[in-house]
Amino acid sequence: MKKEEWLRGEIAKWRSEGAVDEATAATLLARYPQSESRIGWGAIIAGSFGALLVGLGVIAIFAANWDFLGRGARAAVSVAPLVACCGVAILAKARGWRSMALWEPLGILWFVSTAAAACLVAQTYNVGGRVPDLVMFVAVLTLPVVWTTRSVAAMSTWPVLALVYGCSSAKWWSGAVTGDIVKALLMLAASIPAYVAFLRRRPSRVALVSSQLVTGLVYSFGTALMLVVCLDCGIQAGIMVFWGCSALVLAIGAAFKLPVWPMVAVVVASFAATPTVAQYRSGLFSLFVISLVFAVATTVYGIVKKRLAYMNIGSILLLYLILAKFFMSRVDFTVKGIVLIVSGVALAALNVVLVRAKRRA
Amino acid sequence: MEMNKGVVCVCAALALQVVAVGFLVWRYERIVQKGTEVRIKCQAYDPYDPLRGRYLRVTVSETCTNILFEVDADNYWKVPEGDIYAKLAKAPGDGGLYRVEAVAREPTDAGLWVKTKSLRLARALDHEDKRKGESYDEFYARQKKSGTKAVVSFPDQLFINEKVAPEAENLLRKAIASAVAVFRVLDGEIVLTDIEIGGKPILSAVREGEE
Repeated sequence: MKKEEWLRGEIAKWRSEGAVDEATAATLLARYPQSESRIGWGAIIAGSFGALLVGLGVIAIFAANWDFLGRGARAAVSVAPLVACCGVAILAKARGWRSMALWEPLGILWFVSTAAAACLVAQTYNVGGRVPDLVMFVAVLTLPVVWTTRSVAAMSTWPVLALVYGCSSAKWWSGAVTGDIVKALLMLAASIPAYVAFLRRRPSRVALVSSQLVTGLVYSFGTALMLVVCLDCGIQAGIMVFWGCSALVLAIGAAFKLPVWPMVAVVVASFAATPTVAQYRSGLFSLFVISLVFAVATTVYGIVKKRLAYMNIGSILLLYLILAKFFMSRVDFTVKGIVLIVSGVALAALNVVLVRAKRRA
Repeated sequence: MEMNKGVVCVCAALALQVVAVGFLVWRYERIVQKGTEVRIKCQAYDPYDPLRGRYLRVTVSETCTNILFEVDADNYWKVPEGDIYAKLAKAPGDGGLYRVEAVAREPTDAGLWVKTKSLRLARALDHEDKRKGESYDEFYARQKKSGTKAVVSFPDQLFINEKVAPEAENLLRKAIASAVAVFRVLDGEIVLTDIEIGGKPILSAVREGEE
């Protein structure tokens, strides 16, 4: 039984026993509102996966039997799943069905159907257009799906379309990429209202954490990757871009109390710091020093705040930075082996100490 | 009230999606129905793309030296921004096949003009045109004087059934000399509708081959 269900049962018991009056019971119930779905996340994932399989299966059947249909029939067949999804969505809205067990798979199926409809019609007329145009078309058509269903999968996939658009449309060889980057960033911004609406619905913890993980990764790593591809920048500028995007996601996550975003941002920033150990580029040394400071700061923050994840990310990065430099040296392998063992033991000991400190606290 | 708002939102989403997809259908169906049929010599192969499915990649690479826009002699490869149009006309004594007669930034007369998919500008003389015994300096001087040629391409993907794609490619490889891309042209837009081998649509040719 979930905690909130247990609490609701207890409040009902207190009320019947007269331990609390009606007003107090109502105040308590309002303090712990029911999450939107009583159905387990496992069922939602299974339903979503099922919806994805159904969508892909329908596309496969259409593709295999395409030649037997005329152009009109093809168009009708392409749009039919999309209309069916809308029909279910209208029914669900009219009846007030709010369960994620319905909206999550429906969002996925609707998203896939919309993209498939656009692609199938394009194939019918052999529109061998540019990839960015197709991505933009699909993105515009699927945005209402994201806003309407607030499906975690659809919501997390949509910003990827914006990033693909940015990467595929940027003519980095021509030097004129600003317009493409601005368009891609505006597209990315269009995904934010759906996420805000999703957060306001007080989703379950698993939904909240998984959505933050995916969106945090897309907004930090994805955006940085797109910018690096568009700007075709070198390794030093690339690292700075990754750090900049991570810093932005960290700041927004901290400001709006999205606890997973800062962690994702720190992981992405740490990942971006890994090339700084390369010796063949002298310009990287200053970035290497910054990475060391960042790793120490993250470790210290994790120890002070008793956050194991931060401590581990920071200490692993610190160990990586030091060991990578150390292993590039000409020191004997026996010494290198001993250093490795000492590092492993130190990391384990740090974890044990912190876990004990947390328990004592 | 909230329920009605939700229903209205979903209806609006459906309307947007159906109108957008419907517009796509209308735009291309109009060209296929009412457009002028144009046949251009082509080569084709099945690129086996797991993302897009099976399709025949048509290579229609038409060359033309009649360029109706300014070309910078030093930066001759620089293609102007925006759409480039190609004028199609039947080539005399070529079995009714069309060739590109001119390229321009916009139609300049009442001929059959179409938007090109891509345009590449190059020197009119290729490296294959270098004479035996001619030094590279002499060749480059001759190449510079030869002027600029435009190499244009048109829509190049014909999507076909997964099962028949390999056989279609096989047929095309055997009868490459008689392969023709069939397009429809209307109001400057061009749509690829079929590939013909020896005057027969590719699918009919494949099915005949199977029988």
